[in-house]
This record gives sequence, structure tokens and C-alpha cells, in this order.
Amino acid sequence: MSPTPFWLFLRPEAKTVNDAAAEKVKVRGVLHGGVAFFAHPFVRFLVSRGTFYLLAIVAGFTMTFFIPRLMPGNPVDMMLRPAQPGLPGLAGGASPAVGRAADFARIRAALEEFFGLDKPLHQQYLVFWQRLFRGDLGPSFAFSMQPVAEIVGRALLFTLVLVVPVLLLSFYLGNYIGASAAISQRGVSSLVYYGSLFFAQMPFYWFAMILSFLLALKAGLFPFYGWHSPELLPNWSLSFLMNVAWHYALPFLALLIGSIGTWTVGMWSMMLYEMRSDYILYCQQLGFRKRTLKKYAKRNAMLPQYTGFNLVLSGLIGQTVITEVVFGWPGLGSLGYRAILSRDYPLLMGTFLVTVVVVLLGNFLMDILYGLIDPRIRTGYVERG
Amino acid sequence: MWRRLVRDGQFLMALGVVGLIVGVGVLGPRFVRNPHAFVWLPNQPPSRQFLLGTDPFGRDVLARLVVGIRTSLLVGVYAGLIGVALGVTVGLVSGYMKGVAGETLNLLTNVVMVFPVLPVLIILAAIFERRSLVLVGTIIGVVSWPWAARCIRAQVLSLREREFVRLAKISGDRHVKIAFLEIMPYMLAYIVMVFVLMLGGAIGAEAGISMIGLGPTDAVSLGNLLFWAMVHEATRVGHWWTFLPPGLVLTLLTVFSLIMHKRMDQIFNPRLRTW
Repeated sequence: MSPTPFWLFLRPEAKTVNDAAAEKVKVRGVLHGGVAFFAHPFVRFLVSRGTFYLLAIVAGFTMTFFIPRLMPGNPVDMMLRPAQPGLPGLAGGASPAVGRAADFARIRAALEEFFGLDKPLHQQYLVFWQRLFRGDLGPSFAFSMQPVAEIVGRALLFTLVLVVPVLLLSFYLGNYIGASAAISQRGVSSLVYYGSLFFAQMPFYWFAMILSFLLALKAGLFPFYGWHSPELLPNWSLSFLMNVAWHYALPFLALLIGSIGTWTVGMWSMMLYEMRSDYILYCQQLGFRKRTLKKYAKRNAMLPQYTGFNLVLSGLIGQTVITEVVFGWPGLGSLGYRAILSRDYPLLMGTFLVTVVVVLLGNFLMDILYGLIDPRIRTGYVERG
Repeated sequence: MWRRLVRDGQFLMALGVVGLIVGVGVLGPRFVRNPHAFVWLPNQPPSRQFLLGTDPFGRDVLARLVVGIRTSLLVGVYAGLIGVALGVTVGLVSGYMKGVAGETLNLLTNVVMVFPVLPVLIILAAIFERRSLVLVGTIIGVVSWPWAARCIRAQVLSLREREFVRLAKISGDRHVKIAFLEIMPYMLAYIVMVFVLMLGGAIGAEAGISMIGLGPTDAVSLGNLLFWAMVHEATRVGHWWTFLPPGLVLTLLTVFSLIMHKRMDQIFNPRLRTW
């Protein structure tokens, strides 16, 4: 028996719409609609996955809380060591965050207040969470004490603009290429496979440098750096947006081509596996057309690809972060890079927290979608319950 | 099975490429110039005397590449060893132990696994002022074990129901001994595969953190070369010889270690075996 779609339980007449479901609910001894909603396997699936990701987020945030505190000495002193007047910075010269002694004292006071270092550890931890819920990530001294949350929020937008289209478009194109290549002639097939393996495994930022060399320097088609031409002021006019798109093209292409490789490799292998399976061989015997076979095999080969989303998202975020640095695209990566160069620890932590939340939310979303897509998961949860 | 592996064309080719790169990394540094010395005019394109030209400080790019390969391999080996040790231990224990302990370890594995590797590496590496080669390898190993633990756990779950495990239990062996001396040897081929894959992954990860200036501070690595090429805007001034070779070596190394892994999997993994 197929399970009732869980949203039916949201409607009062739901139990009469699907008698079988109501029967099942009765058998379980759960009689009321509200409880039935939580008894539905899909809802339970959501709750368990949601709890898991919540746990992961708490673990990640706790880690960022303890890392600076496990270091010997006062964490603020550790963070500020490179910014102290008179000490050498990263590259030997004056550090970028260097200020006058008065500024330094101000920064130090603000950070100590922010971390609540005079309080005992458990209270500090509570304060840490309180501030997180308020969206307060502390001040950034590389950005003249602006709130980290504000800076990171801006950068997040730029990263998402890069990651989301790349992820979706590469998923579509990669699966298409992989499926088509797997059933074409042997030579073409393996050429596509090894080609995409190369693209999938290369560091995307290295490919970004090659694209920058070929398309920006040799062909002169695209700019090298930044997100808009320096002579323009950011506004919403069409010409400015076109300018941004022009700067967007290279980082986008670099990430897209690499990601397509990732999906193609997965799809190609799964497709070959499916094409060997019994039902396809049977259809072949019956004389089905190749196009029809491809359609059938692709449907099954797609399923593992959806689970691959989580892995690809994590990997892509990492690659994006560095590719942004190569092109000076002002996303989380460039921000983190700047935080590292100026030893701006609160900024680095803020960037990290936001990145982690994005990845975990993306994973959760994909789990939900996968639960909706794969009938085996839905029924599997019914049988177990 | 090993004989079949040795006759596998794809495996041999992959082994050849990886072996060549490893050979260059191990033996090469004896035959090249000092990678830190000013040897010729800066920014010279490849010539017969300097096969890969010179960098903005007048250093020999070929020498830096060869030494970089060695550093990257070393980081990969450290990280691979630590990652495999952690992955095997956690996988074995979480698969072998039933009940709360096993489930907790499994949960830990899953939680660590959902974190994106590179950002975690970045904040861990950013704590340290000076990072030795061993430290970077350790950090990478500590972060990259979860997938190995998960694969090993899956194998242990089925292995622990076998006869010989029951026999060992009846004869009164301790659980630790059963897990590490009875079950683990069964997966040795698989563990070697995990190591190969982890080595490739760790070399890529090292390049990633080096690229934003968080790599080893006491050595030249492949990622370090790319980092300086980026800082000196090599693409804008057209010095392709400073950034093309390191990336190419990195890619070849990871691609062919992956192919090696795949062929070994096809031969050792009974479910994928086609003969």
C-alpha cells in the first residue's frame, strides 16, 4: 500500500479521503488527526533529519566557541597579537589591521566585552548562543568595527549567486551529458568519461586561473578581477547589472565546467550499471528503441545523483571559496581570505558559521526533496513504522 | 586477485603515472637547483637552461615544482595515515559494537561528515601561526576520516556475523582483539584503497588551504606555488609557466589515484566484480 501524502493530514477531511490511511492510523492506536500528522512516516522522516542537522549545527557552533578558548592564553590576545602596534604582520611588514595604540585598546575592549571573558566558561557559552540568536557575530576590526553579521550577509549573497545557479545548471547538463555519453560508442563514451574525470578532479581555482589567462588576457573578452568596473558606482541600472554579469562570467564558467564534470562522472557510471541490469537487457531483447532504453535507465540512474547533491554542495562551496579569491568576487571566500590576511578572527568565525549553515540547510533541503522523489524511501519508512 | 590487478591495463597505466610523479617527488629534489635561491633573471619564460622558466624572485620554477611535489606527497601521506587510522578505528568500533556506543560513534561520523571540509580546514589551520608540514597533514587527516569510517563500518556490519567471528567469541577472545586481528585483516585490500583515495584527497585539500595562504609555512608545496602565482597576478601578466604545471601535476595525481582506486575496487569488491 502506498502511503498517504502527508499534507492530506493537514486537511480535516483527510481521514475520510483515504480510508486505508485511517485504518493504518487506527491500527497503530493513534486516533486523532494531530497525532496522526506526527505519526506519518514522512513527517517523522522530516523530524529525524531536522533533529540531526540541528545537532550538527550546534556541534559546529560549539566548535567555533571552543577553538579560540582552547588555545593557551587569552583568546582576545591571541586574535590581536598580529594587530598589536609594533609587531610584524603576516608578510613581515605592518599588518593590515594595525592601528594606533588608542584604536588597539578600543578593539581589545570591544572584543573582551563581546566574548565576556570575565565570566566563567559556561556563562560565556550561554552569552555566545544569546548573541547568535540575536544575529550578533561581533565586531570586525579589519572593517573598522562594523558588525560581522552585516558584512557576512552581504558576502553570502554574492556566494549564493555563484553557487546556486552553478549547482542547478551543472546538475542538469552533467546528467544529460553523462547519460548520453554512456550509451554512445565506446570511444566517445570513454573519452567523455576521462575528460569529465579530469574536470571533476582538477582544482577549480586552477582552472579559473587558466580561464583567466586564456579568456581575459589572451582573448581580452572578460575582466580579470572584481565584481564591477572600478569607474562605476553600484546601482540598479541595466548598464551596471550588465557590467556585473560581465565580471560574473569567468568565475561562473570555471565553477560550472568543473561541476559538470562531477555530475557527468557519476551519471556515466550509474548509467553503465543500469544498462547491464536485467530489466534493460529484457527490454533490449524485446527490441525497444535505444531512446526508450535510455529513458528507462536514466530514471533509475538519476536517484543516486540526487543523494550526490549533498557531497557536491560541500565540495563546491570549498572550491567556490577559493575561486572567489582568484577573481576577487566579493563572496564569503574573499571575505574569509581578507579575514585571514588581517587575522580578523571574529570575521573568520562569522564567515565560517554562515558557510556551515548554508551547507547544512542545503543538505536538509536535499534530504527532504530526496524523500519526496524516491518512492523506496517513502514506503520504506511506512514499513518500518 | 593481485595477479589480475597486475594484468589490468588501466590500473597499470594509472600506477605508472602516479609512480612517475611519486618518483619525481622522491628522487627529483637531488637533481634540481636550490628552490629558494635567486638563480637567473626574474620572470623568464621556459628556456633550454630553465625548463619551466623563473618566478618573480628569479627562482627556478622546475626546482620549486619538484620540491613542491615532494612536500605535497608528504602532506598527503601524513594525512592519509592519520585519516585511515582514525577512519578504520571509528569504523571498526562503531560497526562492531552494538548498542549506544556504536550508535554514538556512527552519529559522530555522520555529523562530522556533513561539514564542508575546506572551511573546517581553514579555521583549524588559521589558529596556528606557524604550520609545519606534519601539522598540516595532521589537520587534514583529522578532518577527512568520516567517509572512510562509514565505508568500513558498512563492511564490518556484515563481517561481524561471519562464522570465524563467532568462533573467536566462543574461544573467549577479547572484543578488541576480534575487531583488530580477526575482522580488520579481512579488509586490508580495502584499507589500502581507502589510503590511496585519501592520499589524493589530502593533496587536493593541502592545495586548497595553501591557496589562501594557510599551507605549510616551512616548505614549498604545489598549492603554495599556485598561491604565489595568484598573489603575483601571473594570469594578468601572462606567466603561464608559474601556475600551469603545479595544477596539472595536482590534477593528474588525483585523477590517476582515483582510477587506481576504481580498478582495485572493481577487482576486490565482489559486488562489482564482472568476471
